[in-house]
Parts: sequence; structure tokens; C-alpha cells
Amino acid sequence: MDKHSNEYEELLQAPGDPKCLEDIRKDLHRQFPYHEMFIREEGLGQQELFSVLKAYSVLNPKVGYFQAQAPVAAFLLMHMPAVQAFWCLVSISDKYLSGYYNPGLEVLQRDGDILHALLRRTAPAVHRHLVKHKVEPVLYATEWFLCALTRTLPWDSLLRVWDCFLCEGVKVLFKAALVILAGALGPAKVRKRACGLCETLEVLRHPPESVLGEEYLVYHMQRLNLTEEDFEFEHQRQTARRRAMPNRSRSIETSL
Amino acid sequence: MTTAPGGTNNFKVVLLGEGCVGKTSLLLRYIEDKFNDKHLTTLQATFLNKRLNIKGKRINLSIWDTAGQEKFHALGPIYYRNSNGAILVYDITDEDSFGKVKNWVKELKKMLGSDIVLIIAGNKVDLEHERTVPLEEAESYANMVGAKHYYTSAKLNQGVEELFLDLTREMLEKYEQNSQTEVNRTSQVLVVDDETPVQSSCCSGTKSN
Repeated sequence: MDKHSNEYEELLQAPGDPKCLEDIRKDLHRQFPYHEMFIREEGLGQQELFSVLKAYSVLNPKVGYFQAQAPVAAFLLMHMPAVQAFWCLVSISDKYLSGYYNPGLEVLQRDGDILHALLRRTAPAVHRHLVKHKVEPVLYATEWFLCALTRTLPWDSLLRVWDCFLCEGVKVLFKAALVILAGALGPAKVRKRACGLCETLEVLRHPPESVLGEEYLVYHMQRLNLTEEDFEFEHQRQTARRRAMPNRSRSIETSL
Repeated sequence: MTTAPGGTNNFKVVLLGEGCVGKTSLLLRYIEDKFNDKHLTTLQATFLNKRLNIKGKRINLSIWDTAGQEKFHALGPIYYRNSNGAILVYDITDEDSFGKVKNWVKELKKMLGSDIVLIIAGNKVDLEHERTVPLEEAESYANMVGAKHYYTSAKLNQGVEELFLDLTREMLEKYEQNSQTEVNRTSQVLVVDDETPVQSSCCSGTKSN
């Protein structure tokens, strides 16, 4: 940050891509709309959010602005001055979640497949249920990944999980996702009631509060029994699998 | 497709369109009769169910609300496949959003042919004074591609109920026509049915009990 002390200000001076700026403006009032920082239209919070997102779109025109960056940036702004929030957003977009915001959403879809494969090890019954009802990862995990859980977890849990996320990286999001899946669909009676695609998605859209609670979540994330190698193995396997697919219709169904 | 007398018709409907044209608001108005300008951007597609009765038939609509930004385009097929109907929404004050509707029409026609009922909705008519998409252009385009065109305002609750009702009627008609041709076909040709019927879920367009 010290090396680039004026860069944020300079990026803000740039005209920016009009389409990007318009997209950003459309979203400013739709992030944490009840949070005191963002509740007022054109208030300081929304202005800073605009600046941070604009600066990023100028810095990295390949990504420009992706809608999922807004909740992440807003969450960062709740904790630090705009210039720091900006550099954190850069780091998260380009390193922690590298590729998530690129056109085509290939990385998101691949990570969905990795999640699905890991679930088979950590919660086989839940995995079978999802396969049976054709519940693909993009249908339930898109927001978890793209927004780094900022729209999913209650405040206390989010802060804990983000501490881990910033230390250890994206694996933490996978672990939290695995715990949520097992917690929400673990009980046999829940799976029995959720006897279709829609019903299952409904359960995952609103996981039980107890599952999202700080203690439960963090405790079970540590007990997952997945090693670095497990992640690495699935990463390689899913990357190779997607590469080997003959056409662009890269759906999970082919791997089931 | 199996017919179950007295059963419920399940139809899948997908809402598509540029970001911030009001897809989520239309759905919220229709399902809960509410308008909330403090809702979140839609990033992950969600669905809501609505039950209704038409001509004595029980119908369940599973309506999918999708993310609008172009970057989500790659996920489109996941949401529109097996859809019986699509509502393509634009904002009457935003010409680009109308262009996006045209892209969706092309894509849906290419991928799903004429199996899908298309509806085009010009939303935000409460902002009529800021309109930039000409009325005639929108209507003649809809006519040309065989889609019905509606003007809606989720905010003022205009046109929303009618839109969904007409869409449902059309889907029902199409479904009944299709099953009629099915019956005609099977009565003429001996069909060896070695395929087990697809198990219907609430999101597939099949008929179930």
C-alpha cells in the first residue's frame, strides 16, 4: 500500500468505462440496504462504495465490475477506510478468489465441482441426495463463493470465518460450505422431506440458524478431516476433467 | 408424459433480462403483493412457487428469478432448460435493456425452439415520462417474434397479475395441444415403451400428482 500511496486517488481521477460505472451505480442502493452505512441514498457509504468499485474497474479493466464484488466491497468498507478497502478488494478479487469474476464463470463452475466432489467424502449421504435430485453446485453455492459468504452468514460467524479466510484463503469457503451442506441436509428426516430439486434448494437457501452459528460452524470446519492434499487432488482432477470436456456444455451431470 | 386425472400441472418459468430492470420486483409483487426498493441485487438464481387454478385445473408455477448482469450469461442454460415459459424483462427507460431482451429471444429460440412460451415485459411504466424505448418498436418486435408484450409496474402493481395469468393460460394451452398430438400419435403407431417415465419434480415441466 505504501508503494502505491497515490494510486487509489489516481484511479478515481480516471474517466472509467461508462458501462461499468452505470452498472455500479445501479447496484449501490442494493448492498446491505438496512445497514446504517448504506441506508441513505447517495450517503457517504454509497459514495465510498462507488469509489472503491470504480477504482477497481479502472485498475483491472478485464474484470471491470462484477456484481458480486459489491457486497464484498461493502463489507470491507464497514471495517476500514476506503483506500484500504480498495486494496483488500484488489487482493481478494485477484488473489484470494482469482478468476471468480472473470467472464464465463469457469472458475466458479470448477470450484462448484470440487465442492461437490469433496462433499462425497465428508458427507456421502448428502452427496447422494444432491445427485439424486440433480442439485448442481451453481444452484446453491454461487453466492457462497462469489460473495465469500458475506450474504450468507450472521455477523459473528462471518467475522470468524473471514479471519480464517484472510489467513488461509479460499479453502476456508469450501470448508464452511461443506459444514453448511452437512448441517442443513445431514438429518435423514430433512432429506426425506426435501424430496425434489426445489425443496432441497429451499433448505439450502435458508440453512438452520444453529448450523450458521459461530461455534458450530468453526468447530465443525476444523473437524472436517480434509488435508491440503485432498484439496490439491480434487483441484487437479476437476481441472483436468473440465479441460477434457469436448464441448462447452460443461455441466456437472456428465460427472455424475 | 403421463397424465394424472385431477393432478397438478407443473410449469417452469424463467425471468431473464438485464440487471436492475425489475425481475425480482415483478416476482415479489406477484407472489407476495409487495414492493420493496431496498432489496439486494440477485446474484444467485432463486425460485418461488405459486399455485393457481385455471379452468378448473390446478397449476403450480415454479418461477426462477435470475441474475441480470451479462457476466452471469454463462449460467443461463442451467436456468432456462426445461422451461415452459420465459418472461423477458426490460426497463422502458433503458434502451440497452431492450437490446438484451432481443439477445435472449434469439438464444431461447435457438436452444428451445418453439416449445417455450415467450412474454416480453416493459417494466417501470411508473416512469413513463422517462421512457426511451418507443412503444411501437417494442410491440412490433414482440409481434414479429411471436411473443406477447406487456407493460408492467411492479411498484404500482400494474399489469403483473395479468402477465402471469396469460402466460399460464398459454403454457396450459401449449401443453394440452402437445399431449393431444401425443395421443393422436400413439393411437396410430404402436409404441414400445421401454423407457421408464421420468420422475417429475416440481421444476420439470411434467405432469404429476
